[in-house]
Amino acid sequence: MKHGKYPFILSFLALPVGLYAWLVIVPFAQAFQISLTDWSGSSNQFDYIGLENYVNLFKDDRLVLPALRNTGIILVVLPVVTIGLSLFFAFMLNIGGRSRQGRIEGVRGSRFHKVVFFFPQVLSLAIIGILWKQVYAPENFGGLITGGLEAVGLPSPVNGFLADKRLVLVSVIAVLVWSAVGFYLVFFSSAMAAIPRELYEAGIVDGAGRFQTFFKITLPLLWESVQTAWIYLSIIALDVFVLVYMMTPGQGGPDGASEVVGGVIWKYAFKHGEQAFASALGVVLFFAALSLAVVSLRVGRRERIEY
Amino acid sequence: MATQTPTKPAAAEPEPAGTRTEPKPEGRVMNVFSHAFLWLWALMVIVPVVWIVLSSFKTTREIAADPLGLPAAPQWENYVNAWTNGNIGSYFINTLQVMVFSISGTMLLGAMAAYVLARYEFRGNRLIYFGFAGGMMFPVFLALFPLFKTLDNVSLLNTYPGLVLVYIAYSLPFTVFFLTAFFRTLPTGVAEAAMIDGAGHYRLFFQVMLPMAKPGLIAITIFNIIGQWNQFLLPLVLMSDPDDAVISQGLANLAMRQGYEGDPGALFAGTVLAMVPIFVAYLIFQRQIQAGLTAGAIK
Amino acid sequence: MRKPSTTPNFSRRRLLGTTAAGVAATSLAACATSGSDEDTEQVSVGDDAENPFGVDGSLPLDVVIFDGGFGDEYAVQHQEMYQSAFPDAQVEHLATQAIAETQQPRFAQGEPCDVLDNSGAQQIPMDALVSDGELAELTPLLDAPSYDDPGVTVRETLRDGVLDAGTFNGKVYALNYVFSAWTIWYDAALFADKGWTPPATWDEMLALCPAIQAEGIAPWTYAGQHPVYLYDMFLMLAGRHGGVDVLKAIDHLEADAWRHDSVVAAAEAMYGLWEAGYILDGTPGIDHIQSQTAFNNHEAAFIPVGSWLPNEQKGIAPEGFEYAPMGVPYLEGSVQPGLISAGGEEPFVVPEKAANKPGAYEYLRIMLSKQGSQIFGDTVQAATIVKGVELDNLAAQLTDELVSNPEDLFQPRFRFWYTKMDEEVRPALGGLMAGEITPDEFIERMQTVADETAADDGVEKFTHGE
Repeated sequence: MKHGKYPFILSFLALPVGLYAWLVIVPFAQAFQISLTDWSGSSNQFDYIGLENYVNLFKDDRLVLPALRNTGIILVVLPVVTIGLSLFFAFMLNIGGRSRQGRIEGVRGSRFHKVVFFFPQVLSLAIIGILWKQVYAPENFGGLITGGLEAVGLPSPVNGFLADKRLVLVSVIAVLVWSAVGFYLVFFSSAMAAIPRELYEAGIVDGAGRFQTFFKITLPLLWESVQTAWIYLSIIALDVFVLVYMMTPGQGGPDGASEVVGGVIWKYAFKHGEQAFASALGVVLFFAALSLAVVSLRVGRRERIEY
Repeated sequence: MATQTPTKPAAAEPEPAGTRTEPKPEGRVMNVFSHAFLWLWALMVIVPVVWIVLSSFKTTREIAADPLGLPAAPQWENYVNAWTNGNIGSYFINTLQVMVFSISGTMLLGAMAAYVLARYEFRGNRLIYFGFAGGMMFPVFLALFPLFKTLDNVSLLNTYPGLVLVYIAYSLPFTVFFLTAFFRTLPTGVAEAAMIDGAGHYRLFFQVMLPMAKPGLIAITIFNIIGQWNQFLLPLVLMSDPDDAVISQGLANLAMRQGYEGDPGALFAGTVLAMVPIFVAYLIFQRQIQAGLTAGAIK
Repeated sequence: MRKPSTTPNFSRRRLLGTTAAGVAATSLAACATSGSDEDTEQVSVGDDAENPFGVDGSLPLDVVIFDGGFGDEYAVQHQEMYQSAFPDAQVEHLATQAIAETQQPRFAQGEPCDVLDNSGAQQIPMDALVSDGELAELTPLLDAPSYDDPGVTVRETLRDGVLDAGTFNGKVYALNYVFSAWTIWYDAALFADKGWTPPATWDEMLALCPAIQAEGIAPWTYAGQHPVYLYDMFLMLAGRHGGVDVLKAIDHLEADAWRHDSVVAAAEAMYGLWEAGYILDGTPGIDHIQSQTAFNNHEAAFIPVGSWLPNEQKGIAPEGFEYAPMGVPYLEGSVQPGLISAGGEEPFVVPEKAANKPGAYEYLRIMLSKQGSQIFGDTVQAATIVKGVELDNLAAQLTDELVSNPEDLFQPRFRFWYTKMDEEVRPALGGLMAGEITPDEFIERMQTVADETAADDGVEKFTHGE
């Protein structure tokens, strides 16, 4: 059995690991190195300045600190809302439809919903940005939501959602949720499909309502999937940038109200010509993401329920 | 958004009497609410997409002056403009050329690495696994400059082989992470039986394990296709010649031009053209995607 | 059309790079040492008026054009002119909006293009390029005989003051090819129809506003998502009131420059438009396209935009609309009421490490020829910085009248010299006009960032020079 194991392992790993190290690890190691310099990004001269960039990061209350705060908010809100919604939808579309002749299935039209909800996944982020910019526009400029609110007599922000400091971040997060829910719906659906039907049927016989079915049966069995989704969404949250860039005034405004770490890295790298400073922020972001993943894996570890 | 009061569902069907066990009162309210919410969400997806499709048939003036109105007459020339001026046609071909290789390369290398990491004990296994998984957390634009230099040094800058290699490398973290979890769930019995029958490691992989992993492979393939189809930053920096651009660059180009002398009709038409193939692929493989994701959770 | 990635001493660098590829530290070091002096060559002006820079016609020329409001058709024609002068030269043409993303890595690699139109939202910050010494001085070009008349230098063919925008501490690093002015626009047909006189002073403007509102039209709109459109309106208002030195003091980061009475008065006047409700509802939430569309639809009477507005609108302008420019209505007691923000825009630069510097200078010289300027004027209906090119466009002629006095031309520069100031003035102006911050808060905010910039030794300082 042992015969040829190591040559085999080596032959299978050499190419992927080699390519990955060459094009991903080494460039990022260089980014780390760059973060210790004063390199502008548009020249090939630089000096090493130690950890100065890292010290200055936390003094930058115009861009970096607001961005850290906003990214922190997204990091909490995005996974909670997305997972909550997609779990709800997945439950409704797979199990929520009461038993029909003793079979557990989703509500009517669930196939249709599954296709529709996934749709945002096939749109590129640039398009989603253009789309939602119009949806959020001021009422007299054809904004869909402001127009709708006005039509039913509710107050709406006169300058639209994206020009309002208090609403802009929420609006961006809503778009992120909108585009992500479809994926996690499918993701949770597939996990739910693996749960034996008898468990539900037993539950129904015991008189469990839909609430109870969900919290007593479905959720515990989906715990690992939820955990995976959480990590993915955290990564997405840390990486939010394109939408802010496409939608918000001043690519992070108004007045810094929607700055995110990714956007600030981009601003420093390409608009301010401070590539080294941008790299330092990127390194901080990387370690934040890494420790987050490790922590959520450790904390979230539970007994697996075998079925 | 999500907390808006649900409007009466547009297409709420009457409950077919008798086929259902009557829910408790608690369930009754929940039922109406849940259905309304499902339909509200569906509307929130459908309305904007319909808006894109409608806008793709409008003139520039119509789009600017009356963004929500209907087109007076369908402007098919928007599609012609997107195809020719926006170069969607040739970008399409370019993208296909790249992705045939990058997707198969990603899946092959990803499956190889994931399989070994999932099913073989050896020193350094965890290190390599976490090395790949950690890659999901790299903000890509940090690597742009070093990557540019790396490719330039080996004369792969502005070439398709270079872009293919980069796509593969940057798709590996997600692919390996997911497929490793998938390979772990495959039953060990079959593999042992095959080994006893004298199958080598290679035959075991290609003839037994890969076919068994098909659902997972299909699901991850689709997600890689979506990811690489929409990839924008890497080709922008690494393929600066517009003749070689891929479709996401073409769209972004059209999108960025909106700030100047834009042709919004062509942009929307291009968007429709670009989303159709991906959506069709999703429709076709919908079942496999769901099946393949089943085992994707962390074990 | 592929860029051949070879420069004279590229092989040496490649060798270094490849051997070091696996080791991050070494390869970065290789990058650092590659920018030695041998990469740059000094171009001098020779006696040959036909080919003053001694262009080697066999070398390729690599041109990168910003593909924005002006498109790239004009550049293609310029390249044809170059091509016919040097038939053996291979001209590489790249038109893109993502200037920084595509070109910055090439600067970093020491292999930049030869001519770069460094414009648009994704331009590479000029202050960084200049401070890093990445740009070639354009003096040889300016001192060379002009394309059309060997007796006249290129410099003498240009309009007054148009080099200022590309001048950094007395050295010209950028050729801002397009001549444009920031003005206030109104529809002359609408004004004639209603019997309104375009207001010369701020008070006249305020007096006219109720009449405009009575017609169901909002007096003002602007590109709320890009408050940079307010920048010149605000600064000209201040500069007209207190004279150009007020603005120079701001550019020079002088202490209390922002607290000057004229600057405060301008901020209060702008804020007053919001207070009086003279701004179209929703304006802070719209971009330039939307604001211009609202202006076209007679939803607003005045809009601050640059002189490219009529060209930008030519496809969608409503029937009978007459775009007419005016200077910002000046405040009571203004000492320089004719002051106007006009000069060169659209900076073309030649990288210091360009492989074909003589070719790059020659290309710019072609752009500045009579024919080259006319090509630009005809294709995009905008003026170049070359004197005496006629445009058959009423709006352009009206703009020309506004900028007839060279004494009154001034481009505020701090936004271009100090990226950090630019990042601050945009949201601050946006907030002021949306009524989110008071004039006092606005002034203090700008004074604070100016003081910080002045105190930051890491930032290279620039001055106007005179």
